[in-house]
Amino acid sequence: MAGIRADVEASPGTVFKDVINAPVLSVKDMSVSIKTDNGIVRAVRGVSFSLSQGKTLAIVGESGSGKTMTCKGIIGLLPPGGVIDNGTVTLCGLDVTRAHEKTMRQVRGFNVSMIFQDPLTSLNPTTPIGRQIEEMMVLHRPDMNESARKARVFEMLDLVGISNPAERIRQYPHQFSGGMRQRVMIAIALTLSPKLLIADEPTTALDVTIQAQILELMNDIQRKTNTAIVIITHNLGVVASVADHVAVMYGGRIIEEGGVENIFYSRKHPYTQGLLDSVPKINRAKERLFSIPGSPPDLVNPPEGCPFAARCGSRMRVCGSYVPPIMEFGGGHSAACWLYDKRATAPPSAVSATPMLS
Amino acid sequence: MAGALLEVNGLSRYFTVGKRKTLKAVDGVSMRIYRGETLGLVGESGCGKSTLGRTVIGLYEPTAGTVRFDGMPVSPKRGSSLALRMQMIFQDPYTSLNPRMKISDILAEGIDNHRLVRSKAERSKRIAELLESVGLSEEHANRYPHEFSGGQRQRICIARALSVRPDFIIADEPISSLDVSIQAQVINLMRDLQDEMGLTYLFIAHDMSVVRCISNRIGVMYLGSLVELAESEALFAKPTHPYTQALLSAIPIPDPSEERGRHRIMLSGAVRSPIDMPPGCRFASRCQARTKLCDEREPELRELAPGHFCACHQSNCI
Repeated sequence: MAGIRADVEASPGTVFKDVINAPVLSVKDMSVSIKTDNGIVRAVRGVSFSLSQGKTLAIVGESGSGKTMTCKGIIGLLPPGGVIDNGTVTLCGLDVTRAHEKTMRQVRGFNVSMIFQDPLTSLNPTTPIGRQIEEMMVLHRPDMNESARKARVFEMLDLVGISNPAERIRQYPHQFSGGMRQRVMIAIALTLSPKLLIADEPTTALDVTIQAQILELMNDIQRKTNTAIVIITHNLGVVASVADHVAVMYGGRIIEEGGVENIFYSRKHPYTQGLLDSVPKINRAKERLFSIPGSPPDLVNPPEGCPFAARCGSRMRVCGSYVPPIMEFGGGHSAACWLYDKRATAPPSAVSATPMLS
Repeated sequence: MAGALLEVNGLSRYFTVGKRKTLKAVDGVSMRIYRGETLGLVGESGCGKSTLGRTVIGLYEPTAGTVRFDGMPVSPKRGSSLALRMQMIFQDPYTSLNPRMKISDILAEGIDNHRLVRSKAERSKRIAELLESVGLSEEHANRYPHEFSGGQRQRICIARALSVRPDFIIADEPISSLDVSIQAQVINLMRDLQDEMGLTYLFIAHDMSVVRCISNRIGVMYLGSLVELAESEALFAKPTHPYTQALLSAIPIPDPSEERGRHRIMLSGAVRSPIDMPPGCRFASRCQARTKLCDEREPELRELAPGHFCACHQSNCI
């Protein structure tokens, strides 16, 4: 597979300016708002993170925490009424927020690709899958002739582990199983060897045994092609098996960020704590689960201060009125929580010591 | 355990697809559910676990086999007398509540139909009780479903199931459309209600770790039949069927170092279609321990250790 990358970098139409060691993706203070019938939803409220080549960032959070909108903002596919109203997104050296739609079309495909939760609705039911994979090259690589494109389609099917390609390319999506369809989606997304792959809940619609295969495949492809991956998921088991870095989102903000070990073994934010504790453990018997009381905030009228304050067991007076600053704990681990401020009255150890049973 | 509340014997439910093809959604399932226990039913999508639940409660007429509830046969025709004792909770709390009905009317529908209360005052008292028992309050009674979040709606669905004071509840993926932190609330609620009211549950889910934390016994389904049935502890300690083994090893554990050092059984081969299935073991196409016998004869569910049942030719004892 080593040949693929060189081949694309040399090709015309490539938009990225390759800077050695620069992060593939860097997001600074991005905010996204979406106009809806019920008012303006502040879906993302100032998130910053960066990702280098060959690494996987997992964005975790509940539904409505802003994780999908963060990613749609990055690739410029916000829904109607959605705008990035603050911040910058630098993708392979290009500021995406200021790029023209025409440039963005080039960026999507060459520099970044996205795969979605439900592979059945993202594939065209009336087109054979071979042509759907080829379409990427027809649109973006006018220099490739038909036989080169066919060869690439075969190569991609081989990469994602679909056997018998000569027959498979003539088949339609309904002739594939859920796991096979997701493999096709991954093949389409990686055809042009993008630097960054965004996977939005790629395994949620799949069965566990198939999920294991797809996660293994994503790890394997990353080793072969050195693609940076952003994976959005709510399954902490999936996070543990694929991620290098983790960003935990809540109420449109990143409330904790760090290496996967930091998040699982020395988490700082009470929400991260609660989230990890409320997951049923496969290796533990019938037991009462820890649960976070209440429900997530309404982002049409986001609360002042910390978004988690209303559900937090370690809440202090300051939490309801001022947004907590980002506290650094070294090694890229940070959390936005007032408990770690020097002036805090409650000791941070209280975070793990007080279970809040509903 | 005080004897079987529900007895399922050789239950099958087939559907006709196309002109002459048969889809065997449930094919010869036999099991017992004991009073006061939770039986978890796991399996991948399309394995027939929901169909089994719906046939057990009498929403579908069985193609073959019988279901006896407390000694009485269950069938769609005699639904009403058993409706008071068996209830169901569905997966999606958004589509299983009528958007035009007030919460109070949703909760009282069963009460009104079966004339379980004598006066209006008694009716509203009962509604208040139900709301309180699931962690909501009396003032929610006059609202409509759209005013509630997913977790709250699932609480309402649970309250509705409880309204006729049933003994047995079938919960079909009750938490899979909810967020993690809300899932825990609903599971805890279901367990508290079980302790208070002595309920018996058939808990259907695809998530093994969720099933484990609520079930006394677990049944694993594959393409319409039960391949393994055991006490939760025994199933996790000694999974015996090759499918159960693969399923358990595939579940991602929320612990990075454990996850890295783990050996996974990767299944290869395609899942068989439940339409016009060939003879032999259903799992044979993906099984590593497959022999000639597996292609010829379908294995029966055998008791390998006390209470531990497994349908595999290759596993003899535990």
